[in-house]
Amino acid sequence: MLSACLVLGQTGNWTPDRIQVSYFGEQVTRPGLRVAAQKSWTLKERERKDRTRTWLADAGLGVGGFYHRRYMTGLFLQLEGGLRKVSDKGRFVGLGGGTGYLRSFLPNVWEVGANGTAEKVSAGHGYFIWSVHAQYGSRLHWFGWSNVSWHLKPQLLVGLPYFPKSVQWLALEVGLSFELPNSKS
Amino acid sequence: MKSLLSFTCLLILLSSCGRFEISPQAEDFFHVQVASAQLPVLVRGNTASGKILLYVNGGPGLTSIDAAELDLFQWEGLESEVAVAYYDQRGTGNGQGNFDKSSITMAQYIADIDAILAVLDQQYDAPEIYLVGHSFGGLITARYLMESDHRDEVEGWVCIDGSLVLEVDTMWRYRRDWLAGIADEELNAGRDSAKWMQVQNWLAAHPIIENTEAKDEWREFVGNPGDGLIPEEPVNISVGSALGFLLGSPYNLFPAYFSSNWMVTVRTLYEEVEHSDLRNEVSRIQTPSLLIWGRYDDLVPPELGQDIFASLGTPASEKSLHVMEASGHSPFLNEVDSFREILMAFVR
Repeated sequence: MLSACLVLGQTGNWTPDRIQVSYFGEQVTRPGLRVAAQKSWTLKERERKDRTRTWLADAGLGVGGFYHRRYMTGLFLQLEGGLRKVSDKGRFVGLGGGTGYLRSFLPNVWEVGANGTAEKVSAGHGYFIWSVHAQYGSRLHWFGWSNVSWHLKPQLLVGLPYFPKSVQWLALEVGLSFELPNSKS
Repeated sequence: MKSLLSFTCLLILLSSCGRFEISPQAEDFFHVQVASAQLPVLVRGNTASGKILLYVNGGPGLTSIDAAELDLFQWEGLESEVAVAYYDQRGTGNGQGNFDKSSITMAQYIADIDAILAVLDQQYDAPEIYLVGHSFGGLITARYLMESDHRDEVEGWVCIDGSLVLEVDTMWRYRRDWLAGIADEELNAGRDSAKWMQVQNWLAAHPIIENTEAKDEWREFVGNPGDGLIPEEPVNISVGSALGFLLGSPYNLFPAYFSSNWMVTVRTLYEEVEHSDLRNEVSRIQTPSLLIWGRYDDLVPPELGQDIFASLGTPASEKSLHVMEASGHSPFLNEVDSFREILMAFVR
């Protein structure tokens, strides 16, 4: 995240080079969606035994949400960054983190008023969130989709404030990244 | 067009605030918002019976919704006759909110129950409501019946191995007396005389159990659940219910199991109640009461249950005590069918 921000600050080029669309499964099975615009910068390339390994710094802005029936619906906006190591075949592994805001909406909430009558009310919380993730993926070679890659990204989100300090959500993101035509990485 | 819009708004309003459907096989899930917390409540079973048992778990710090989802108590038989309401207490499980630690008090726990009972009363057409408190939940429900302005609205109290005394020295006196009683029984039955003679000699040498060494020795005689004296507490979780819980339950596992919230809750509550002794206060409880105790409860011995029973303010004809002979601290796990029969005989 820090490295991505530094590179971003130095280059001043904010134009995204790919769009990510992912299934965002809170606790894996509670369905959601995440869409992000991302940009990558080459940090270094290393050649060894006819193989090239490229280190990239990523930064991106994502929006998403998930639906956990009976627990909560969450909508979030998230700045994310990370480092990826990419092989010349297009496989990559990476680590990263993010920060942002999550709004929760709780289902079927009742509150008892001063007159003793219970009324259905809307309830939810605003959380400052930070996250850590790992990712694995590869460029897709099917159907001639050379500008598309898939990724698998488990992540832990931490929300503040919450009693006594924070609340956590585990999520698994599985999705596709589409390189934009004008991208240069 | 305007009237159609008004009619639609009215329909939405009515459907969103209407009562829950009353059914022999109800399963309703909702939250009750009270003092900056949202407490999840699951009502399952026969709401058409007009009777709802509100289960108040012990711990403190344990959870109820997951136990219900996993059918840990095997209460499906109970739920076919009455409805059971399970909820996660403030600061535990999936009770949500950024409430202040200062709200982790017995007074607030009582106010939380008040709010839940008000919702149950309104949404299920004024059912008969019974409070069922297990262990620390016994203490919470006893305090509720002594302090809440709405205690008269509770039809009955079921106290299962309730921790109505937490004062350490007093509890060790009960534990000593309990072991002495067990030793007498075992010797009279001619079982393992050598061991129980040794226990009697040890008890004679230890009229008071107060230091760690003596408590450890007492523990060696008693053993752990399943070692012989105390029945093992069977936990029957089927693969199906475990998968259902992981893949489809309302739970976010992190705050329930991997967070420090329940430890903060336990510490905070204990600071308030660690010297509790309700033996002389339960005379204020007038509610019809059923006390159920496991004969082999080494944590809260049945001798305490007998003293609570004797001191209860409930008229003699409206209170009963059942000591279950094959049970430990959780009779509903050890003697599922007998427990249900005793409970239903009281509720009917």
